[in-house]
Amino acid sequence: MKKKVLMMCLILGLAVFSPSMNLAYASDYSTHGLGYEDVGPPHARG
Amino acid sequence: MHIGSRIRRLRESRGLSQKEASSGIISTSHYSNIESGRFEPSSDVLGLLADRLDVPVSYFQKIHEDDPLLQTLLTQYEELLASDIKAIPQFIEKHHKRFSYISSIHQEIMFHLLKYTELVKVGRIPDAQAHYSSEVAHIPQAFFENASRSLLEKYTYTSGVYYYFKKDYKASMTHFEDALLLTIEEPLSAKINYNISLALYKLYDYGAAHVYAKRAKEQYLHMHNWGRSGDCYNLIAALYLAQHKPTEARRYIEKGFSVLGSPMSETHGRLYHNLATVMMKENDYALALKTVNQCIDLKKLLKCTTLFDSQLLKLRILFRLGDLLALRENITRLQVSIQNELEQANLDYFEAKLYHALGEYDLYEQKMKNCIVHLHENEDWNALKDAARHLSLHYETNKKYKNAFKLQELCIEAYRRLTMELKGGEEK
Repeated sequence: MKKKVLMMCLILGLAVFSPSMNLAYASDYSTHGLGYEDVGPPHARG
Repeated sequence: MHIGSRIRRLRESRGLSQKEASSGIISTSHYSNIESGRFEPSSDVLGLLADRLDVPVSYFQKIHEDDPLLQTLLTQYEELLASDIKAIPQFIEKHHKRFSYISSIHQEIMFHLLKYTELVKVGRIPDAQAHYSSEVAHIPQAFFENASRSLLEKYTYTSGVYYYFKKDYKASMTHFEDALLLTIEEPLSAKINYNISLALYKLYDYGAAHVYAKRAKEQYLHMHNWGRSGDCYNLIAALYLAQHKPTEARRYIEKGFSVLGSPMSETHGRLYHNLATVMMKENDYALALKTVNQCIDLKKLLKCTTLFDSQLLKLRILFRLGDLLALRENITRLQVSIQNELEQANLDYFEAKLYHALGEYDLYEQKMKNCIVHLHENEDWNALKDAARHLSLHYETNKKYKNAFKLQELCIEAYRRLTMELKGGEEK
């Protein structure tokens, strides 16, 4: 019984984390760069 | 720095060989020894060389002596930078002859540092960078070991700004740290603390950046400089945003708005931009859209240089909202205002993703490839890693593993270059 449960977990795990399942990227996968923030330029002398 | 280095720079700028510069005056080997500083030329030779290089002979004399009258003019120039920047062209024109060939090496450097600051303050960053590269960058660091505190402090500060715009943030931070040790004025120390924080933010060292930003904020508040205090609140908010802490970011944005009051300034525009980002992180896309629109309107009104960044943020929000029609409309509208290749590449990225969402994969591949080429050419590694990864995953899904592999390699290359930038670019 234990073996069966372990096997099931393994199969499920593989299915969920399989690299071919790139569902996420189809939407807005990427953050397109860090630095969404607007910080402006350095403070100049004078 | 000696007379020889000044003669060499002049000769090179005139496009002359050592032989051409010295023929009929002295032997080429003697001339070469003068340029390298091994021989001190006589005043007769200096006169003839000045004639050959088409400069007044005074430019080759008293190079280690400061001219008191010129010193007064340089002080006036520095004061105008703080009080009345618009009056500077007229001031320079009036004293054109005095500023043309400055004998004292110290005063000449001082003049160029002030000129750089002037160009930065009027927003002519590419001109400023070119000016520093041609007039200041060649000076060996060792020269400044004997310079006055005032010159050294100006040099380290200005170099900090130069390297910041050059995107060498490590060098920028090092110079600002040196400047901080040399400064005795609180207004200047506040600015340096702010700039160090900014450089650390670019180096992703958020913890240290917080320390400097908060120090700068306290100093500006103490001086009742509300505009600069607003900048500090905005920077701290940006740091929290980068650390994925939108609640804290919002708190600082609100403080920023309250300390700034009215009328509207560029800092208001930045605060609106960051507020929209906070809202996006909190998944309130409708409100984020309203805020980014406010931000764009204000930035247009004030002709802010970061307008395009906010327009990209709007595209990001529309993407999250799933409003593909509005996204297409906005992309088309932005196409006409594109200023350079990098902006085009960033826009291509969104257009490619739009095609992807619409299932138009051929157009998607074409746009994304185009975008990647331009991001690579313009060395935007941060955006490149995302674009390359996106296209790689697309190829992988379609079982085009060879293409996917190539793009993953490009992605790794982008990460490598990013790491190099963090280290100060030593592997270049």
